[in-house]
Amino acid sequence: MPASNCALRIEGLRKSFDRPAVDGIDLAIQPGEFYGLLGPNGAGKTTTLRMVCGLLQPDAGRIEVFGVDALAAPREAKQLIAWLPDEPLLYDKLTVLEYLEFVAGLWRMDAAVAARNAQALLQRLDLWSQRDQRCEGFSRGMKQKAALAGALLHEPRLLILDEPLTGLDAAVAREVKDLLLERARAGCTIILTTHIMDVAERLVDRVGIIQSGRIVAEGTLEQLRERAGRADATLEDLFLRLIGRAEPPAP
Amino acid sequence: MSTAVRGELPLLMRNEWRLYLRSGRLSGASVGMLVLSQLLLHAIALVLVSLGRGPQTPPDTLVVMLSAGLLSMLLIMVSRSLGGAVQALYTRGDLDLLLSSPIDRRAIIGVRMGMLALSVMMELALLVWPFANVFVLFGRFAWFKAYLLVPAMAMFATSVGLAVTLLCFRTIGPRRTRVVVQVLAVLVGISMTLAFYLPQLLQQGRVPGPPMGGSMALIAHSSGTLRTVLMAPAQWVMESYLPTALFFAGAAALLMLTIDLAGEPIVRTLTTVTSGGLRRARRAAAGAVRFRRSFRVVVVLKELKLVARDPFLITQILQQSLAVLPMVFVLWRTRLGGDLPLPWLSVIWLASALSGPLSWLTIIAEDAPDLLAAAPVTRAALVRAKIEAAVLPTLPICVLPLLFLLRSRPWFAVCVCLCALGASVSNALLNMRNPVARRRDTFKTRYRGSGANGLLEVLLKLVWFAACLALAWAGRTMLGWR
Repeated sequence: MPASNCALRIEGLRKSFDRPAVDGIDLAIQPGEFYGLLGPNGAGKTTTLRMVCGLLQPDAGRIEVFGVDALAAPREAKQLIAWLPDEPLLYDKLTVLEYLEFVAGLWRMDAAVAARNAQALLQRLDLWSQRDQRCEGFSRGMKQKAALAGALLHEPRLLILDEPLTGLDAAVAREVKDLLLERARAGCTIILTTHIMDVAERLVDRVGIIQSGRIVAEGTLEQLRERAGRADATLEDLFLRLIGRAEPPAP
Repeated sequence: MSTAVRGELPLLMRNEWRLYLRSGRLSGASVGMLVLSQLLLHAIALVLVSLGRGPQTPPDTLVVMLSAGLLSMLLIMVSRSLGGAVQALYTRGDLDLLLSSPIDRRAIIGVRMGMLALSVMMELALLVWPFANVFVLFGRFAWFKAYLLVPAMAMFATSVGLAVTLLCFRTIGPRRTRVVVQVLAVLVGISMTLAFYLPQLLQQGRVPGPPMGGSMALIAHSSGTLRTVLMAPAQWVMESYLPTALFFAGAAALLMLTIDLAGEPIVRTLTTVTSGGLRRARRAAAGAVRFRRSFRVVVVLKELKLVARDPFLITQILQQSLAVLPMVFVLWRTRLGGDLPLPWLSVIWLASALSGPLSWLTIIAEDAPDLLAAAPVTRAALVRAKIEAAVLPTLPICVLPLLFLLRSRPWFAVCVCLCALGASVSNALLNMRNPVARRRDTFKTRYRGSGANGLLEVLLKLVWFAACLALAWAGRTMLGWR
């Protein structure tokens, strides 16, 4: 199989539960790109991303992560990926440091490198003083930051974030956004799903809009505006229009 | 105190009852089992009635036995209410919603504690009332007292449980209270059994009759304060309605008083617990971060820490392990094994009783299954590490026979050690049969949907038990090994 230049290439991806959840998605995301996957509830965003992360087995299609066939060689692909869902993947009874040590063990990181990264991340995310406290006492924002530290610990080349800003206050949301932009500038490829259009508009390089398991539009904000023929439209306007929920213009 | 709302009590009671019914205690197949067991108990009572009337004046031993039964039931109820009080205080549930409503706080706490008393009562009532129903129906009207006695005991036990829990909360703080009270609940629950087996142990089996009966006969035929004290509860119950009615009234008053006095402290406790009062103010360790290198060590440590830091799990495991004690007593008294030190066989039972729940917790229970599924590790490597975590805590128990019996009975020590290890590992392997990740907090209902596992766990215990005896016997008879 020829190695792909893409960070993530998806071809003809399908998954059905009682109805098709993902219905033949094709996607190509370049290394270092910050990509926003937007769609209404139940459109198939999370299902698509869970298949990329190896949490769900697709019914059909191909997934390639930096040239690695994620279905044929899931361990190699997973080594390159980090997954951060909206509900933080934490253990309440572990301290943040113990959690990060466990994550480092799962990704079989060199202990010294992992310890160094953990310290840097906790300091960067303002969790250093709470490093020996159990996660059960953390606020929602602190939990999300701890989970983000876990996701970034092994320096993933592809970071997949499913609604990472849900329920965060403005200050924590800003910290998370700043860290994501830093990582993107450092060359990490990021895929983000969000319902907050302002966030997507400010953060991402390119947007894919998914509805009923299919990509209905894709491109930069400028390209989407051009296609819609509305130079001043916000991403929210374009999104609502593309999913058929736009209010008819006032007469 | 907030404004009273009309009809608040029926609303709260309906809500509590619905939550009780849906808490898993009375769902699905268990309702069928409940009906069946009630029919069976009524049938047993009918058989007893048809066997004729018992002696008008029961012998002293029977009076002591009845007293012991009543005290055991009361202690079990106190044990249940201690556990229930901890759960009520430490589980946030819907209390935030209720306490933020304009309903009187005393009504909320009163109904919740009343429900605790009811749930404590139900277990015993379901056991005793079928007999009362049949006996009363056939003219033994003294059994009417059971309808008063059981609720009275439940109310008394709930008051004690609640008071002890709050007292602990005040004196030793919220963190320690949870562990201490849950351990206390276990110890109280088995205290009566221990108390009656101890004379047997101290007498080295010289007391005739079955273990508990022997102890009771000893007490019944002795003279002194213990006899008087132990016979009193049964005599009160048998004498007339007045002591039972007085006990009922006293217990109801005590419960109301406890709820009234404890209402505000309970609300304050809840506020402390739910607003982070349980957090240990730990100072972060100074210096650079150091991580362990091995994946296996990291997984084993994670699993053991998660169990060790959960007081609920520890007490549950402790409870199941302490259930081994009656077996130790039985083995202590038996002469079947000749000169073999049979009580050491309980090591096998203990290792199995410990590894069963631990295996479920390490292999099945997983709070972040997606994290593991997204990690670049094989399932086999992960499960191997988890099995290690389940078996490791049982190792000190498994090697006990080697430490104590290696000189006098080396072959028997090796047999017990190997079979205990086998029991421990086989429990872990058993949990791999259906390794669907479940949340840790479903531990209490872990056999739901996989009842075969529970049965197989018991069968495996018996198999290893028998295997050990067979090995010991074969070594001695064929090779002369001791």
